[in-house]
Amino acid sequence: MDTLNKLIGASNSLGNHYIEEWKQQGGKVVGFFGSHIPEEIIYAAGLLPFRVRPVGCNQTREADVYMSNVNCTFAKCCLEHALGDKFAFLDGLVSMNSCDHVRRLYDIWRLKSPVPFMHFLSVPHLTHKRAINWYRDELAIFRDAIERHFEVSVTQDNLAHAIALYNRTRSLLRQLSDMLKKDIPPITGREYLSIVLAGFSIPKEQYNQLLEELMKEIKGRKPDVRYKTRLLLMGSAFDDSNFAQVIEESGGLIAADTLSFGSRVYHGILKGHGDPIGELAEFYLKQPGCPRMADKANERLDLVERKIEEFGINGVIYQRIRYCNLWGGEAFLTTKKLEALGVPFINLEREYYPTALGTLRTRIEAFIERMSK
Amino acid sequence: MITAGCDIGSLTGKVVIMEDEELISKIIIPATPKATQTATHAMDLALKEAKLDLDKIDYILGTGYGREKIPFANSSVTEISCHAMGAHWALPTLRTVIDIGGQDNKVISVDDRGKVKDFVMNDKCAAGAGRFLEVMAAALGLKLEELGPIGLESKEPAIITSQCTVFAETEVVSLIADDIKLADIVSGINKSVAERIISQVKKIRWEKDIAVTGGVGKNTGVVSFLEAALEMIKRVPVDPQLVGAIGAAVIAKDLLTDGVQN
Amino acid sequence: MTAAKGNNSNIYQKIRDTIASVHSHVSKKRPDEAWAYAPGLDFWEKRCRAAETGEKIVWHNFTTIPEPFYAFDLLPINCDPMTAYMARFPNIRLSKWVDISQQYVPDHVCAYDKNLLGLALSGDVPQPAAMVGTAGQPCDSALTIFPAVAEHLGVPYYEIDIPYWKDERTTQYVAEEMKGLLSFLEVLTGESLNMDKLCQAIEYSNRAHELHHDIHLQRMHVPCPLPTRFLMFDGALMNSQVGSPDAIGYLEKLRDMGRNNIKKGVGAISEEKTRIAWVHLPIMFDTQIWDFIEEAFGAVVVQDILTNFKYIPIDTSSLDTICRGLALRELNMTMGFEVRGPAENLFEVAINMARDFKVDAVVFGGHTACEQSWAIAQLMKDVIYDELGIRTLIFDCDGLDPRVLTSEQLKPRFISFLETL
Repeated sequence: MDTLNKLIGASNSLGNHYIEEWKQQGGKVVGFFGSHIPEEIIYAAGLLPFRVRPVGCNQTREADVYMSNVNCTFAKCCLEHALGDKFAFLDGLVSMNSCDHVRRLYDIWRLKSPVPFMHFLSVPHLTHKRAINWYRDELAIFRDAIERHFEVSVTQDNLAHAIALYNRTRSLLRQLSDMLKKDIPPITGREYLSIVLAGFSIPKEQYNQLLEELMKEIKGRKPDVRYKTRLLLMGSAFDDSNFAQVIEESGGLIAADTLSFGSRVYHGILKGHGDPIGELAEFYLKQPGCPRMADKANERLDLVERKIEEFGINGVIYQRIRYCNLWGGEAFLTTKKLEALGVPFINLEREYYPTALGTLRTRIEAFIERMSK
Repeated sequence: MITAGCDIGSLTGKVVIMEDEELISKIIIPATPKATQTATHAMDLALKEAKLDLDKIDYILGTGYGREKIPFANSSVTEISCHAMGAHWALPTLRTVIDIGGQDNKVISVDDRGKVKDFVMNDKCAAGAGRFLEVMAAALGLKLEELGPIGLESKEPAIITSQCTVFAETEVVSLIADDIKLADIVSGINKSVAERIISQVKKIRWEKDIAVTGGVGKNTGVVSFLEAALEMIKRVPVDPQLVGAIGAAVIAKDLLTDGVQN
Repeated sequence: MTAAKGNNSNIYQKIRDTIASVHSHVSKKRPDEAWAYAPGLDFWEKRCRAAETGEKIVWHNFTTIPEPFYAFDLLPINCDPMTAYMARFPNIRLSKWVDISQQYVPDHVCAYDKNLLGLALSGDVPQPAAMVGTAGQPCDSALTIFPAVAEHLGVPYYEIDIPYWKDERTTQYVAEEMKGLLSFLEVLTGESLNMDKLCQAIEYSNRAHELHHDIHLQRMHVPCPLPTRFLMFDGALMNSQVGSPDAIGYLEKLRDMGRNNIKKGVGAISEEKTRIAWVHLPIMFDTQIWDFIEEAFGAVVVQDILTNFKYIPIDTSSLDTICRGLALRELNMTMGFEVRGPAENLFEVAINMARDFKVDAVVFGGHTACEQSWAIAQLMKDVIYDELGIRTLIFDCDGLDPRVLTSEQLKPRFISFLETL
């Protein structure tokens, strides 16, 4: 499974040879956060969108000078990398008010270690018409800023092309995720999550090709994934394949997820014509799954219920990073929902870096044992 | 003029007696849960060493965690001021003092007269303080004083990511189970404490010369990591644990000469 | 849908009864200050009687301006001051409801919101008719908990979306959100918006803000003519009672107190040695910490972040001008503006506070859950020092829950800092 290994390799490292090649050819890279920023705009400008992840961070000595002991380790690790020039390959950064920690990360980053192009998007917390129009205007301002700084033109055609490309990605990832509905899937949940992660740092044309090749390889593979129970993984920023490995080694197949580094990337398909900026605004604003969206709590609960049904889920792992108050607060209604559905679940607190995998493993094993009885 | 400084901490009680800012006796004893008991016992030992009676001391200043519970003290001042003054007495070129005690750490910026310019303190949790090292030493079956020398043998400190003492202990136990070299684990522990401290230091406008006081200052492993990040760490030419009590005794003299009633 | 328990000794009554007993005590011991407790007593008395009077109660979050509710004869309750009262009164405290909420949410969620969730789950308060919150300020805890509580109680909910910025485009957006709020209240009450009532509410609120602005300027005087502890009253009042006439009498008396002291050349304490800007929430569970530093160090907190209102009179010419004015007030809400948007919002407020109020030191601390402020506390400390040469004490505690750090554990932090100033 050569392509699978390529993708897993790309997902486990901070940079990869796709980014190196891109830069060698004079290409520029723009980092972004969260699941509400349309990568297509960045791509249409001829820039490579890079989802910021502080891969390899295991301490936050420099970040701790600024951020406090009540800030989340995902944000602190990003800051640690930023201050340590590990993100030096970024030519630009676009962030948003996704959560208190990430927006402050942006403040400290721009004040202490600025990237040549930095832009912030005020993304609404609601999805009514006025909010969609607001976001459309924000994205137009963003597009104009990119054009000015990078001296490029983001035309309707560029956007249509980018949207078509990303539609293809979404469709391929959807097919991949659907494979986990099978009783005996051809890939594990961990592999699937790594495949999605790889896409955040590979140019989409190449990524789509890799996905097509992967599909062929998978067709040729005899499905033999064994597990004791089928799980839904949800919660805070999760890109940790070691943790995913712990879950699957304990016998829990991560059959489904609602993660922002996971299945959230493909909740639909865009048309890509008419008013692409407007369409992107609405599509990305209505991206389901993030608890920052104040009018979408019921939709998130319905999403969880639907996934449980469609993927034959036996139990839910609700993991949250310590100090993540979005997923902290979301736990209330989610707990009530899962109790009402009678679905076993575990509420796990963790740090971004896997400090105590030992205790997590014990808790997960115990949870899976409970369900297997 | 004879003054005394009485520094009652969570792990140890210290008393020094000074005559005209010269040290004539110094005592460090383990603390008991009762600060009054610790203070009285330490003072008795100090007086014995100096061959003095209590009433010969012109002014006694208390400091440290248990400073309000010293029955024979004339008054008390926080350990921040005392450490600054004590470090200055020991090394007049000092401008930044790192005090790593039993349950907290402080970084103090001092001026050329030994007065505090700024400080940061972390007492919310034990990581970055002596208690962290105690817990880890116990987990490894080592004595506290072994952590420095053993750690220095390592060329590759183990990575310990937990900032919480409780979870870090679990991490250390799993490192033992994974057959990581003892020296590397110990070095990782020392490094972990040092990194907490370095973050604190960078929160103030720190200047050279910089020195480490407090019990953890005796851990050569921790100090070597601090030096790697902060360049030269000067040695305070007295037992680092005594700096607070010395500072208290010096401030006591200032208070007396400023005309405070005994 | 969770039905509330019967009205036997509910939290509104407990708060009202405790204020009444404090008021009675103060009337005997310090009769010249008893008036300060009157608006709070009146506020809670009205909420206790709402079931009899048939008036609807609306819960709103800290950074929601209360004027629109008064325009519809609704009784707003700002949930944060309600929680602050509960934390402050030793006979109530928060532990019961915080513990209930922590069966569902982690400990690091803000105690203001945990308490509200716990109250909703316990049934120890009557169910409100509706809830209103703001998204974008003040924080993630409020953002998730507020609508979740409304969902759990099965009550109508309106969210005011507050963008990150502070420009004209933002004002226009929020003005439209205000119109949306008014429509929501029409549906809630079954009554059309009465422009006369709205104008009346705004006029009361304008008067209150005008008086408060005088007081704001008085506090800049050296020595500060007003006692620190009044900051606590002001914060609750300005976020709950403006829009009704109930805030005005208190503010007039406070303004007069300040005026008289300035005329006499006296300060609120006999010897003011150090002036402090408290750029955070007060420590609600121990309001005596301010008394302590006054007595021990002559250190007066001349201003805190909750009472640091920007003076914005609202033009009542039309619905558009009113909504625009409400939007500007909303965008400049204390503990809203500072924590929303770029870090420079907080820096600007802190520096202006330090400069205008001629302080000797800044204190940043008071509530551990404000992760959006904690993340830039160090930056703020550096900026203040570079700009003004003033030091900042940073300390953390849970301003509502003494189980995190007790008063006795807090005092040494202040002593160390003030001693070395």
